[in-house]
Amino acid sequence: MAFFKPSFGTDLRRQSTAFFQCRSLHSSAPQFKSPVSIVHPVHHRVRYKKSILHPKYQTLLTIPKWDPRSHLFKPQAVQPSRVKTHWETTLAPDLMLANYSHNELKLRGRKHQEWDGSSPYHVNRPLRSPAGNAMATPDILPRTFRTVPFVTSIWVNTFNHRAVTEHAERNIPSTVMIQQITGVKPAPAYSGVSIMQWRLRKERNVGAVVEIKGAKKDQFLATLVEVVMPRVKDFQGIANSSGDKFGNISFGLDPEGVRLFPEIEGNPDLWSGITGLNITFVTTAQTDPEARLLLSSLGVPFYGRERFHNVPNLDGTKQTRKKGVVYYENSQE
Amino acid sequence: MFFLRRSLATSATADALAIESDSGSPAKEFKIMSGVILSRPPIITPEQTAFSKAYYHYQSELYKRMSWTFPYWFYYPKGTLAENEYTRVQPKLNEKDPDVLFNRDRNSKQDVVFPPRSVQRETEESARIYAKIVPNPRTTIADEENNIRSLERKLDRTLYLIVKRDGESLEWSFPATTIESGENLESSSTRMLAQYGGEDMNIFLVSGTPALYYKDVYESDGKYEGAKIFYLKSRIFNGLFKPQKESGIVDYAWLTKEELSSYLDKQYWRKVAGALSKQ
Amino acid sequence: MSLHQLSSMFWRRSQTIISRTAFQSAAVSRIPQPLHNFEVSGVKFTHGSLEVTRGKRTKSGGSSPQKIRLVNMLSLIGRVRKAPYRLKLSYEDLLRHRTIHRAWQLVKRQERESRNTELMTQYQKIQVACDELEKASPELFAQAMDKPKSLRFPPEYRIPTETPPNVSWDSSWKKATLPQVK
Repeated sequence: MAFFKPSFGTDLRRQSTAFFQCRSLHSSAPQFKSPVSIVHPVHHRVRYKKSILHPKYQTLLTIPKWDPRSHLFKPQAVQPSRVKTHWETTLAPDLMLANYSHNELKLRGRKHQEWDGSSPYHVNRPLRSPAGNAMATPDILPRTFRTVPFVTSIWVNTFNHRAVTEHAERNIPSTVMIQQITGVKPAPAYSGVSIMQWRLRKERNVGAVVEIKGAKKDQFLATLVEVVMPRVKDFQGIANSSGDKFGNISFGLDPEGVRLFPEIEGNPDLWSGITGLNITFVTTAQTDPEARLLLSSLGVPFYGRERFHNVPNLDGTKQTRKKGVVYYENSQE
Repeated sequence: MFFLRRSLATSATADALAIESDSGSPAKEFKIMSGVILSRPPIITPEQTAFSKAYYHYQSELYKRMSWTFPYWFYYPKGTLAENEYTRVQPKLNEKDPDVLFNRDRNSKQDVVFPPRSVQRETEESARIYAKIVPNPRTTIADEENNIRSLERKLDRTLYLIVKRDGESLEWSFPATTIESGENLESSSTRMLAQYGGEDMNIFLVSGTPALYYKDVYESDGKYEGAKIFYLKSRIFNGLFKPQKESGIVDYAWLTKEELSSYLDKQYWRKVAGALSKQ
Repeated sequence: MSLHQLSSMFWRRSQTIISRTAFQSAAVSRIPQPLHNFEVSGVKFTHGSLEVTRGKRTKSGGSSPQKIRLVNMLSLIGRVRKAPYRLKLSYEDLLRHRTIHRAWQLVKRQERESRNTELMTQYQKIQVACDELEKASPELFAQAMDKPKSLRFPPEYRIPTETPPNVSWDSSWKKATLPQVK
């Protein structure tokens, strides 16, 4: 039983995964694992800073966010947002009408399935993975005045290859660049994979990432659509094939395009080694075509052949895909 | 051509009339018509109230007080000409004051003063680029004249097109037409707009789905008992609505939602108002 | 201290500051950050300013202008030495602030509710119209519901600006006519 014995100095995460896998009966068990191991010896797998639990900081939590004494207070409503007003007055009614489908029903997504109970081992076993052996998908609600799509946030991240091949300090200019463009403090981005050909190792700091929300998001969107995109050479637009199937659209901007942001263009001498950006629009649209319609209404061009993944039929009937997998089924059946 | 020969009675009496005609004479049909709510979207942001102006001012003052020091050492690097120009413009603070750091009083708001942009050689193009930008006024001549036929009036509001066509009763309404054979709502309304207002309008039909329904009951005896009008929604971006000769358009106007209420017939307005946007 | 270590130090600070836990950010923003004076290959980093010691030699051959630039850039990230003092309002001012805030919230709420009601009414109008169209003419209804899968709005949908453009309305717009091919 030496296998189960935790030994310190090794990767705890990997060890506990193996530990869990050994104990479980089913391969899908690790995704339901708890962040805290409950079998002796107990280890917290999340690091806590215990000093912040001191009672002297408790009063800070009672101060509301709008109070200037609060550490969270930020005077952000400095001017009305053009994009938001535009969406409210013009786009929302038009999008609602364009997306309208009569007597639409809620379409149920793929969910985890119950075991049929044919085996005694099915008791307490984690649920079976969804049909098609893929991840669970959310329900698609009828498109009403409550589900008019809008852009909730924009993620911007940059990958600096020179930080991998040359020195980690190459990250500094691209990080600062992303901060000056978006006006939001960036967080470091780490590589998720190792690629030998690029000399890239996993969990190395290779760039920076930012999530823009609220007024700053609108400002960034307006700058992108009005100042940057029209001037990028040979820019066709965002590929119609882009999208994560759930209404989030990504595209890439090359260094030449990044140079067109006013913050960079105004002081070109200060910036060297500009890197490209990956930009993701996170929207409340339930499918990709809806998200594309929303972005096109904001002035984003699109090109290429369109993909229609996860798009339910307008009449609310079953939609089947290749391999005979039912992706969505009618909830009222 | 007859259009919107509407009884001035309430809808209840109109329904009663419909029932009467149903029971008496052989059943008459309702004519199906398509119409268009053509609107010009706002060109400028909405007018701010005094309160919101004051609030935004308050917030921006707080922002200046709480924002971080402007990193001039990055934008005007040490030992460059740009740094000289920058420091020349700055208000001088007492450096011995412990509250002052990086030429900023940390107890008060920060107003960043930028040096004027230095242009080495004044050319025609540079003069054009660096000329002081004078914003255009938010109100136009059409506003002063209150020209309801102009599309340059009320730039911060949505303007809707209503027309007056000659028929038995001359009344304002959204443009509508009968659907001819082989046409659908979309094609008939596109045809109608070109027929009424000419080709030179950059129009986008938002959807083929009707956005509004209006049932019109005719007073006089005719072939039809009334009309069921289905309005589509569309936007105009460029060009003008020029009434064509044979269209029978007597008058037209571009109006905001609250102006429409005084132009349109009361009953018609009550049925129509819900489909329009206030701003 | 190497530049890499310095940058990672900045990262650590920035990470704690942007952390989402209320506990953490509460603690971090209140604890005065201890600042050390350190040197990176000839560039002296002290509490108040950034100095370059001239003529100092290090093993690596002195600080290159690129390194100075990087240190300069790093100073843009983070609140260190850039944040002003805490804003202290009197009790009366706090009350004023609270009143202003609540009035703003009230106005925003009224606006939001009226906007939602408007959108809901428009939606109901669409529903009624579609119902009636289905009753009146199923063929027309089927055609009205038969939308192309790929919908796009034209680029003419322009985000309104605070002041109008030089030409506020293009009256001379003409429909493009295709050249006739014989």
